[in-house]
Amino acid sequence: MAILDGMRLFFGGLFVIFVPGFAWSYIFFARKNIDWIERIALSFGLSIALIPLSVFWLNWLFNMKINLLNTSLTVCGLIIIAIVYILAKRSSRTKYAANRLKSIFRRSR
Amino acid sequence: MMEKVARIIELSYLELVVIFLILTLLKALNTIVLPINYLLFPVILALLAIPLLLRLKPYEEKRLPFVPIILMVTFMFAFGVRMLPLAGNTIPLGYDPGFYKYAMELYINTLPQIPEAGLADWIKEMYPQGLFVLSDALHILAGTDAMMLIKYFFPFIGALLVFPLFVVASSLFGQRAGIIACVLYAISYTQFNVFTMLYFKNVLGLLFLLLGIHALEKKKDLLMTVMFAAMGIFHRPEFLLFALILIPYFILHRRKGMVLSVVGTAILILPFWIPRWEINMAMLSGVLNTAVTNIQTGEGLGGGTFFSLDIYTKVSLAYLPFAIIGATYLVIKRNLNSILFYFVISSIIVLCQLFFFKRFIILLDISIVILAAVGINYTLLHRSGIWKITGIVAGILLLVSTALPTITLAKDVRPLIREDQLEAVVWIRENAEDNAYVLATSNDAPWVLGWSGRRTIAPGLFEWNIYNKDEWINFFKTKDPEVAKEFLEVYDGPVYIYYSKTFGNYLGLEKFQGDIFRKVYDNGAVVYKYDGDG
Repeated sequence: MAILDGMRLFFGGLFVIFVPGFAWSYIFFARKNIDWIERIALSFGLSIALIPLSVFWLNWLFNMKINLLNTSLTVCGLIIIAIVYILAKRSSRTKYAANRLKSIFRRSR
Repeated sequence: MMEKVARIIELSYLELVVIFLILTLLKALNTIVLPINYLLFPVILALLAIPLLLRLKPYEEKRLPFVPIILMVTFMFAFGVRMLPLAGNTIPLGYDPGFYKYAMELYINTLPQIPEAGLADWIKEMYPQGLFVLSDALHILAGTDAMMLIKYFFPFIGALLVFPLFVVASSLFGQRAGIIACVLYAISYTQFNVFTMLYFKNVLGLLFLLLGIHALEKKKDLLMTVMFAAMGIFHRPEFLLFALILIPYFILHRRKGMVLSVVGTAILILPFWIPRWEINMAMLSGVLNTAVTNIQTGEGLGGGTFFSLDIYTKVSLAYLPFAIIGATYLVIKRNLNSILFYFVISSIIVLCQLFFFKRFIILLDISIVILAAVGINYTLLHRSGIWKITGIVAGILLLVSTALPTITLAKDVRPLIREDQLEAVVWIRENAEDNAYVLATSNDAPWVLGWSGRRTIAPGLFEWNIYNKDEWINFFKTKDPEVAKEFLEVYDGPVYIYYSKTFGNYLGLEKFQGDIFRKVYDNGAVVYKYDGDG
């Protein structure tokens, strides 16, 4: 039981005060732009800032109950928003690179 | 000729630095304390450093090896020194644990809702919602309770500050300055005092302030919006300071993104501030009135609870001159960045005793730590030969003389209440009726509030107090049980009277002798019971 509690404390704690900020840090700084020290600092800072902001906003706007399901969904939502943003940015960059390659190829012909 | 004079002054600076640090160390060791004003040294050293700073050429700093290891060691030291007082002791330090425990449990017990409407005014004034909504989330997902957050999360965040501090200092002034700033933070007596007083919101506010400054300098407006809003919902002094930093920064840089960021922040904090609009506005006008009164009269009212500037200059003496040198360097190089504004604004608030000026010492210390790192790095460490050797010796002297009082405090600091005295409060929780009140002195009140689970009556505190200062003084002074009975019979339930037998704590126990009151507990603390009308 104590082991389970310990695991819940560790992983639950990371899930709240590290993971969302870690995902969001990639919105602000791409992988090569900052080192891991800055990434860690941002991950904690962003998570601790974003969780109360989003939970309180959702409670205020939609009278969302602050329970296990809703809080987990809020944290997951924050992580998903970051992932979608990063993927969208990456795909737009890939499209841009592909277009550039095409135009270079056409010019060379 | 001028060159020669400059070189002589530079060498004098070097010698004086060593003499100053030896004297500071001897003072910290209480071995030799000269009958001179030690504060003259920072001024003289800063003046002697000017020729050196004027001749300083821009240089490319190499990336240092072992930075992550040094940072991890610094983090471990900061965390260890904060955990040291908790070894063999279950009671958290400071006066505030009871307040935090009560407020966090209030939020947790009101889940799945936020108890905004039912909160007493003193909670709304003292505690913005951020920390408590975070404690709700941590409770739900990680199973933490209030005591876990107070005892472990708080020192963890305090130690974690080395990372944002490094990020800010190194991105503006290079990695070496970043490392020095982190080490100074870890051994800072002021920052350790913040921990011993359990200024939880303060530490989180500092985290956001540093990351906000980083975002501002990196022109990351969305990140700045989030951090600025976090300051607004966690700790208002940092919010105010950051807002004040933005004014000169905007005048200088005129970035449109900054305006958008401020608008975004206003939107983000809206739901937090709307229910407390009147209280926040009253506090803001109170702050302005205090500032005006203090300027007009010089009385220094509303300083907040922290040590005075006098003590601060003593405990930070070793790195104070280098902070002035760092600030002078930035002015000479016209590097008007946010750290300089931060230093100037917080210095004005503290030195002119405008408002909350004792608590602003905590914020000022962070800017002083960063600027001291700049001063040490540029005037001592970036050159070769005798300079570098002297710089390293000076660095060691500085570290020892700064760390000494901090480690002594970590070793000696004790909770404000003893285990047996807290057990008496727990006894009340387990034995008192649910509708009972507990009367306590303002010394004991936070512990009673946090641990008894009963409504607490204390002078000038909490919503259950209905008496003014004079009425409380009369109650304390009287030895007549009838007067004490009259004082308590207005409450609609039994009243327990808690008194910890601590030096300086006074309640006047004579009035509780006799038939009206019953002594129900006596071990470390004494508890009397007044049954009320029933």
